Amino acid sequence: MWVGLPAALLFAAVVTSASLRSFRRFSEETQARAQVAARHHAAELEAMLRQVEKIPDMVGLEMETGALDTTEAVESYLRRVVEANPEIYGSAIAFKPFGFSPEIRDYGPYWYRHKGEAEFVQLGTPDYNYPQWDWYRRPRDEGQAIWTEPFFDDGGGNVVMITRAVPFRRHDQFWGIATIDMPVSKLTATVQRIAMGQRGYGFLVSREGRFITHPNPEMIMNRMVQDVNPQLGARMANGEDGWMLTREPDGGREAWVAFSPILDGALSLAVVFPREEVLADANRLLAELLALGLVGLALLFTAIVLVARSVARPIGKLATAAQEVAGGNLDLQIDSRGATSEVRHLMDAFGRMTRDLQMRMQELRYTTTIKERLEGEMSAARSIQMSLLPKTFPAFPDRSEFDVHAVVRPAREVGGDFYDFFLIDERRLCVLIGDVAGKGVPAALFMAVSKALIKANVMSGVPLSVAVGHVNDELCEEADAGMFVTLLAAVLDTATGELEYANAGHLSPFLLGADGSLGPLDGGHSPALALTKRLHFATARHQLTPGDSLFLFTDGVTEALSASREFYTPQRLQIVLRDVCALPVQRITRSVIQDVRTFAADEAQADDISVLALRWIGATGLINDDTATTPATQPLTRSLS
Amino acid sequence: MQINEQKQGDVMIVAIDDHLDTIAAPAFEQRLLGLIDGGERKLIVDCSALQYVNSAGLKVFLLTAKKIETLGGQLVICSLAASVLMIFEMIGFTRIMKIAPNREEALLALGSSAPA
Repeated sequence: MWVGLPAALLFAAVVTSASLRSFRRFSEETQARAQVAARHHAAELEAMLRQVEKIPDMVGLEMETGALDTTEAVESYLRRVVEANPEIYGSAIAFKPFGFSPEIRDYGPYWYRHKGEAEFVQLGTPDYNYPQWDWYRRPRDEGQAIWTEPFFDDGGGNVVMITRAVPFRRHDQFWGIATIDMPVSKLTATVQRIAMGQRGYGFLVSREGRFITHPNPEMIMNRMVQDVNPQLGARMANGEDGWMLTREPDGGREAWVAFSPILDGALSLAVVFPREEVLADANRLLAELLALGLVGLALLFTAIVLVARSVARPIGKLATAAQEVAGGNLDLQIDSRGATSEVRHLMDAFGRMTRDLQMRMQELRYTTTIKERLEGEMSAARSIQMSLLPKTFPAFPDRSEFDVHAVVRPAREVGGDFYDFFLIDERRLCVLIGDVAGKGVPAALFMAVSKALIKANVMSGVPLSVAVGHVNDELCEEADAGMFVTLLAAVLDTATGELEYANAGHLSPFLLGADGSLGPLDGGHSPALALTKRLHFATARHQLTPGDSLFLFTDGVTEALSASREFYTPQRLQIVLRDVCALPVQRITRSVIQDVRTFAADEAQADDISVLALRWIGATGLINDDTATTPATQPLTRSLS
Repeated sequence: MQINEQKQGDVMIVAIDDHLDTIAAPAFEQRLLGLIDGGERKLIVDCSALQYVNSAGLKVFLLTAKKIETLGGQLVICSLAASVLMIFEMIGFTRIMKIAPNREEALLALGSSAPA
């Protein structure tokens, strides 16, 4: 919008400059016009008066010839002069007293026009008494021709007139005066023809400054120019040719007045241009200029507003859109219609950017969703898997003949370790530990299926070898991805301490004798489960003595890696077990787990770590769990040294 | 993991690295399954360099054996180190898979003889 301001300022400057120049130009033009008009009309009047001026000269010369020696001759001559010169009002000859004839003292024949007819008057009457009039006295006294001041010819022509009076002589002596009259009305008509446009007017003054013509009739004959405007009066009376900016003679208005003398200053013509009337033109011009400029400005502003809108509105929309997009609304559609092409390009580019961003966001969201879902599935699988494992200890608080404890330390990724223990009936306890090959959700699922199948089959009451065989056959149906399960299952007769066990591809458990002996419990080996159908699974038997313990574990223990990439190894496990074999089962399991953790230190746990310890106390409960005092860690240190 | 392939007649012999654990197993599995998909039906995995295998690695052997057998082919695993053979025995692989002491025996088992 502010783009319009410079234009407005420029416009104001143009108008100011134009009006200043226009006023100056008007002043100069008006002055020049007034001067030209004054000179022109003065010359016109002078030409007219010069023409009639010759008439009394001619009359005088005729008189001086002496040819006209009778009153009749003089009067008819004079009548012919008047009739032959329509531009003059009248003509007179005035002889000096007794000049024409000794019988007539004052002889002044005068012919003039009256209603189109020539009228005759003898001016040498006591009433008129011409020798007292200026037109007679002044040329006689000055000895030369003159133009009189305007006067009312009372008893003569009976109009206001100016008279040309020329002396003539006889015998080198003044003899008389010849005149012609110009009625002021005639001059008025001429001056009034000075149609100074509609603004100016002219006036004529005599040598003495009397107004001869003026648009205001009250001024004529009554006022003197020097009385109403002394400066102007002085210059006009001097017969100057010039101009001045002054006040109007009959009013207070400022005006340009140009003046020019006529007949060597006998008259002076003035042309008046009142300033305000002249400037009215300038003002009108200025008003037109202003109006035009304002219309132009209005158009300019309209154009600016339209252009600004077509640019600013889309950019405003774009800014709003950018904010919204920044706020996360990537679905925003931008309408680029109605914008200029540059802005449209910008908007289109912005739109493309938003769409690209949206696509990237969707991709990211998709992959993140997948990843989160996978991770979610993983952790769900892991927690499901872990929830499948019994973790309530003591597991059989009302049974004193045996004690069992198990700990699983799951890897970050879902592994396939599992364990279980349950009473098949009042006498027989089943403990088992297993490991599904592989990791992830399939392994977890396979582990859940395996564990359920094993329990169901063992609980069905069939011999252990049959139960394991059934489980194998059923798992073979499920396993299609090379999945297999290693399992160690043992059934303890809690009354007699007889142990029957099956080892399907699993690591041999350790037997921790009540007498301090320690060794793997071999035997009962079979292939892992889910490898192939219809396998026969062997079982082995071992008679426990009261206080004997069985330690079951997965390869997560023996294959745990240290920072130096060493395996934990069955040997180290044996050393730990030797130290803790007499402790309560939960101390045995926790000690092993603790030692594995110490061994692996900060190394990432690659596999699940599971341990299970079962102690047969005996039918009479020979050993009190809480009597054991040997600390778990101290013997380990001793063993390693 | 380094896996070397060598075609001998219609038998593809794959020699594997010393370590076949959870990290190495996926690449190994992909390679073997790729060979089967490529039409190989007589496959020998030479394990003379193999020192350690865990359940993830064992799973690959099992999967490969099952897959090639359903397609009418056969997998022979040869040159197992004693420690690895012990694991194979423990899991029961020696009962369901063809295990040969060396490459010649493996080739013989596949019905093709070693070059002179």
